[in-house]
Amino acid sequence: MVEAAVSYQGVTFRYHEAGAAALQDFTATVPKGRLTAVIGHTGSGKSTLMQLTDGLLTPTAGQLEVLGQVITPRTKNKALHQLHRQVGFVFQFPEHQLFAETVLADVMFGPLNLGQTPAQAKQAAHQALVQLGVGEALWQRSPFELSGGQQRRVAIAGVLAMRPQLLILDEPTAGVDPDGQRELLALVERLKGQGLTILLITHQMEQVAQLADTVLVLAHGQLQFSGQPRALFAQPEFLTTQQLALPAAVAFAKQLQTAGISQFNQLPLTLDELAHALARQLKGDHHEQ
Amino acid sequence: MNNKVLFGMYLPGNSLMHRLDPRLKLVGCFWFVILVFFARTWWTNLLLIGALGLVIWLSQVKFSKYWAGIRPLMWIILFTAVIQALFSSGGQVYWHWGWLAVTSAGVAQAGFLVLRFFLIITSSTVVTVTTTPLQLADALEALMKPLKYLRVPVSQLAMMVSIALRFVPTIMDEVGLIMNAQRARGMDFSSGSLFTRAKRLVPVMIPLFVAAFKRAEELAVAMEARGYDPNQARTKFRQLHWQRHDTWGTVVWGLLTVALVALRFVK
Amino acid sequence: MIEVSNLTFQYPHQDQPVLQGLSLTIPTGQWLAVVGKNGSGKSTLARLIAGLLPTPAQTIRVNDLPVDEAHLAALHHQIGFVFQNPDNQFVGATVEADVAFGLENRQVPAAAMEPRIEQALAQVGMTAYRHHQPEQLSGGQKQRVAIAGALALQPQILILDEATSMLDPQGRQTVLQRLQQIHQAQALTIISITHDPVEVAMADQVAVLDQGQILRLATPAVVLNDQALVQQVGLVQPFSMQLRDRLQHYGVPVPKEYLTKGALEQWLKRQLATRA
Repeated sequence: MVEAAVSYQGVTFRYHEAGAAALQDFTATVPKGRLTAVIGHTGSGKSTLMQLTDGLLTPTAGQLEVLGQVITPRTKNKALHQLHRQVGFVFQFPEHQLFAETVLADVMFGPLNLGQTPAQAKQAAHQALVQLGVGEALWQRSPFELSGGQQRRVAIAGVLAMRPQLLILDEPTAGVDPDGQRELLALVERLKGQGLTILLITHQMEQVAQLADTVLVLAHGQLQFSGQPRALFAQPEFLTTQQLALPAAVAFAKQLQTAGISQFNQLPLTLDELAHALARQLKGDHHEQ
Repeated sequence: MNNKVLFGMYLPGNSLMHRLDPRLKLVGCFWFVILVFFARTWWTNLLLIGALGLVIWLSQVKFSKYWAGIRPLMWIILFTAVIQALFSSGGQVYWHWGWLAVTSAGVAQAGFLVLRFFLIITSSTVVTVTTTPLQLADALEALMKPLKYLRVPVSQLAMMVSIALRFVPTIMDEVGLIMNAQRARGMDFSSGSLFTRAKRLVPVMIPLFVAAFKRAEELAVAMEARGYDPNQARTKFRQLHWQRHDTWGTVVWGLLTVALVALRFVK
Repeated sequence: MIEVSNLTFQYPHQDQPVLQGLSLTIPTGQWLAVVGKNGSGKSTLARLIAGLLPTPAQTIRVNDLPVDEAHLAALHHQIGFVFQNPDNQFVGATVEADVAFGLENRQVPAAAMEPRIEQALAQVGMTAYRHHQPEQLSGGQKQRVAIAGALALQPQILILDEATSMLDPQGRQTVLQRLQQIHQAQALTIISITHDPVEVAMADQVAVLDQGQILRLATPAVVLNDQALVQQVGLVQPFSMQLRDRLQHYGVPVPKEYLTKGALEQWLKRQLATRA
């Protein structure tokens, strides 16, 4: 059993006292050092859940424990502030939050807020920018002069420079061209390899299949599924009722199965798994795995 | 997310007040305010309260909603009333301290003052509660049409207003998002001196302005691509239609005026 | 028909032209996908065709109409334009008001607007959302409204400037499906600027732009099958091509030609049948 980085215990959240619950009696855990994908449509409550996890909201009822810190409806602002320091939150289209005069100053903003000295903050910023592959030539430029893809990377560096123990990524590849997407996904994979706990909100089922250790599916403010991606994609009826797509590889494998062309003992999740399984079959080795 | 606050105080509904022509509501409200200043006796004020009660009843919106609109202004009203009561003279003196005195005339004047505030605020709330901001903009445009002859760019102004209204919720969302993002980056908006707090708005205001300029630019191009030319005449999809209930509304307000004048002059 | 001949364009604040002597003919009714890296000039080209930038004289003709200041109004009549950001092109307070915006500009009488709005909304499957406000819609729905707004003006050409790039996969899929239906139903010329392999595959022709020039003009099958080209211009190959390459990597001799998902499926069927 892996240690939990976050555990939600019957968390309910309402934006208005009388309004509908954006999150209803939500119970789940996020394993430490793993990547957990969070999927759900607009209005499913996933953004609310992420804001609670970063202490940007406090629950209306129930409690959650994030990195050992318990948050209840009565938790004070100061304690929440402590949480912002440990959790990194990369919002959707994070480049829209850039503001400083130079790239470097923008990335230093977070570390300085943590109370680091300018020298420390600068060092943290340097490291993060290098990690994101933002060349030194750009550091003294205005962030607004950069291309969209570069801005995205600077914005992510601004969060990583705070060296969070838990990283929330909300659709990090949205609106980025294929090259940029590839680079960002490689970064996520690297961070995962370094043992960082990551919560990844995504609509791309390929990303779930490829990167996630566990998946949380939300709908109407309630948890619908919690488990491994393979278990999720093995339930086509469930996915249909949730209006979720299959990853392309899974969909193609299913198609081959229903057409009676091929059978898989275990459904392949990624393109590589599918190609591997098919290659074995084509070479006459029917006893795959 | 279900926390979208509707701009203004509009409450969706289909009551007679909702269906009334916004031009009539706007002019009617304005006229009512004039009548409020015209009414100086208890009887005339009672008549106005009756008229307001009728309109509130017709709007099918609970009075508590109106009350919620008045409540935040209550302290200002009461404060003004107290000042009025203390500084006016005449009639019987109930209490005095130096040149401050509470007299019967002062109390009466203060009472009228509170009543006037109440009538004016509530009547305009009836309009905003039953009319969408866009309908109001349409009504304003229609009413300002004569100004076109004075070379006032009425339709351009109306376009500006309706686009501003359209983007209020979008920009509100954006403010919330940017603030959250900067809080997540360790920014603390809730402590420190006024100066440090003001300084902290920089990381919010700059992204907001950048987004606003970008939006304005993109919107302008998109509007051009769809054939918008500020110097060209446009037709209107949302037409304001004067209907029979609007005529009746006008008649009722006319009768109210006549009754008020009668009550005031014919003793 | 759109004719672009020897078009060179430079933004005032830049030291290099984005487009350099570009020529291109787009026949009526064609769906042309324009691909290329960011900064290759594809968006500029689209805007020049639509007269949204000062077009150099005598370089572009749209249905025999020269694109210049004097013909702008007539040009906007013929061309519908859908932009990237769903929020920044939604002008109306409601869905129907937004679709009406273009009609109002064109001084269509109010009575004549109704059927055109209804039809345009039906074409994009947004009839049920007529009275919704933009905040109540998803990105994909807003883009469908934007397409309806263009269609209501009955254009001959529809230009989509990365119109699906900010959408989630499902939003994108619905938009593309609707476009396909519309394209099949009427002889609408479509120019779509995109990075999405699925969108590219839907086109009749693909223009590959690189450094302000057309590097290649060919069918999607030819372009997408050219892996070096695909990588050079920052695209990804469609799923079927990726799978084919991966199978080859595992030593399966899959034919080198372009394969759709269906064709690949059939090929696998034949191969596995002979094995069994």
